[in-house]
Formats: sequence, structure tokens, C-alpha cells
Amino acid sequence: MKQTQKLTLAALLIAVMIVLGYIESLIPISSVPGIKLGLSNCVLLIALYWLGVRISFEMMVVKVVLLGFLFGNPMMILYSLAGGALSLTVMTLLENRRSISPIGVGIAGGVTHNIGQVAVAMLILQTPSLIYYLGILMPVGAGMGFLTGTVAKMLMRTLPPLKRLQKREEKQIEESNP
Amino acid sequence: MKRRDWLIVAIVLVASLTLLLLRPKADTTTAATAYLQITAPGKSYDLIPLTGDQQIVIEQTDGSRNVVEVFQGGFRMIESNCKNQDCIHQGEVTLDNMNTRALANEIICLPHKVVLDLVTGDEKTLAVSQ
Repeated sequence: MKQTQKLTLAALLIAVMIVLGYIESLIPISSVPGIKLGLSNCVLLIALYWLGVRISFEMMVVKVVLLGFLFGNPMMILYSLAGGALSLTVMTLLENRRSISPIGVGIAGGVTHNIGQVAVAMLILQTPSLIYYLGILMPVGAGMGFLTGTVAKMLMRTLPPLKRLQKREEKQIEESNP
Repeated sequence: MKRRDWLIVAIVLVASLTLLLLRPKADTTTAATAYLQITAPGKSYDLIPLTGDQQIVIEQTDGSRNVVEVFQGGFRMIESNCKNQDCIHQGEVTLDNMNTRALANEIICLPHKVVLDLVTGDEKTLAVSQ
């Protein structure tokens, strides 16, 4: 993919994440902090596979800051940033392993997002007992990660124009490395 | 789902089960009494015994304001001037429901950094652990 194509795709995906984040803020699933769908994780997962680590991290930061100012508050930015950074780091480590599918990466991403958030909450609230709360949050995060991972996997298979771009790139790589 | 995916699921389930099992349970011995423990920035609060009806106002210098209602055996957040009102929707914590609630013995107001805990035990040992 050319740089301009990458940039355009990244901008497009950020826009999608902002819309998903807005929709998510309209659906109150639970009053328990940390339990949410994490729909934008699905987009980040695709970005990780298609655009690489650096752009994905940049997208995550832009998304968190924008969503925080639009629909949240500065405190929420800190929580989301910690969750997002940890989750993206773990997803990056798992992404290129053949034995792990996007679903597994999504599950790991969902769970570690919650771990990052709870870790920050433990520091900010000075309440170490919050760690037990992960006993509930982690299975929920895994469930949500399963959903977003499955959707990401399906989307990566079926999004035709993007797939074409990727194929072209693979071809170019093959041609340059005979 | 590939094999390693299931491994990830298994690790998550084992870890969360361990945490759930380790989670402190309510001390229901006869000598034990239940208290409300308030954690908020800038001020320390005494343990409040859950014996009768009263309201506690938690005010912070930045204008944050929470009101806790204490009743026999439990408490709930009845007022908060935060945006998301999550702490109010988290409902009441009582001796009966604290082992089954998602947030166990706690009510958390993230925007105001206020944590309410239901703690049980002997007052002297609790004061030391505080």
C-alpha cells in the first residue's frame, strides 16, 4: 500500500471508530465501569493487520483523545489510554503468530484493555482491592473480544476494495523478493 | 478459533476464577460488625458503622459532591454531581448482596475518585489495617 493509501485508510478507520464510540456511549450496558462493547477494538484489530503497529498506535491515541473530549472527560482519557496501550502492545505481540487467529488476538486485546484500566484505577484511587474486580471484568472482556475479533476476521475477508489493495501489495512484495 | 486461541481463553478463565476465589468474603462471625469505609482524595474518613440511618456528604475542593445514604446493614450513593452517574446506578451494597455483586463490596465514582467499601470485622483490627 502506498503512503497516501495508508493515510487515507487510517483516517477513514479513525472516523469509523469515532462513530462506533458515539454509538457505544448511547448504549448503557452496565453501570459497572469498564464493561463495554469495545467496538472500536474491532477497527484497531483490522488496522493492526493491514496498516502495521506504528499507524495503529497513532490511531489509538487519536481516537482516545478525540472520544475523550467529545463524549467523556479528561480522566476517562487516562483510563482509555492505559487500556488501549496495553491491549495494543499485547495484540501486536500476538498478531503475527500463525497459531493465533484474529479471534484470539481480539480476546487477548479485550482482556488486557481491562487489565490496563484496572491498573490505572488501582493507582489513582489508591485501592489495591480493585484487582479482584478483574475476576468479573476479564471474562466479560474476553467475551467482547471474541465478538470484535470475529467481526474483524469476517470484515478482513470480505471488504473487497481493501482486500484488493492488500493483494496488490503482496504481489509487489513477491516481485521485489523473487 | 485455532488451538492457541483456546489457550488464551483458558488462561483468562483460570486467572479470573483464581481472583474470584481469592476475593475477600464478608466476615459473618458474631463479633464482626459492618462499616462503611470512604476513600476520597484530600481527606481521611473514619469508619462509619452501618447501624442506623444517616447521610454523609463528601465534598472536595474541586466542587465534586457525593452524598451517601447509610442504613441498617448497608449503604448507597444517592447523589453525585458527576457526568455519568455510574455510582448511583451501582445500587446499594449490603451484607447480603456484597458477595454476589459485580463490584462486590464497593461503590466507585471514577470521575470523583471516590470509593465506598463495606468492610467487616473487629473495629480495632480494621483501624490497624487502615
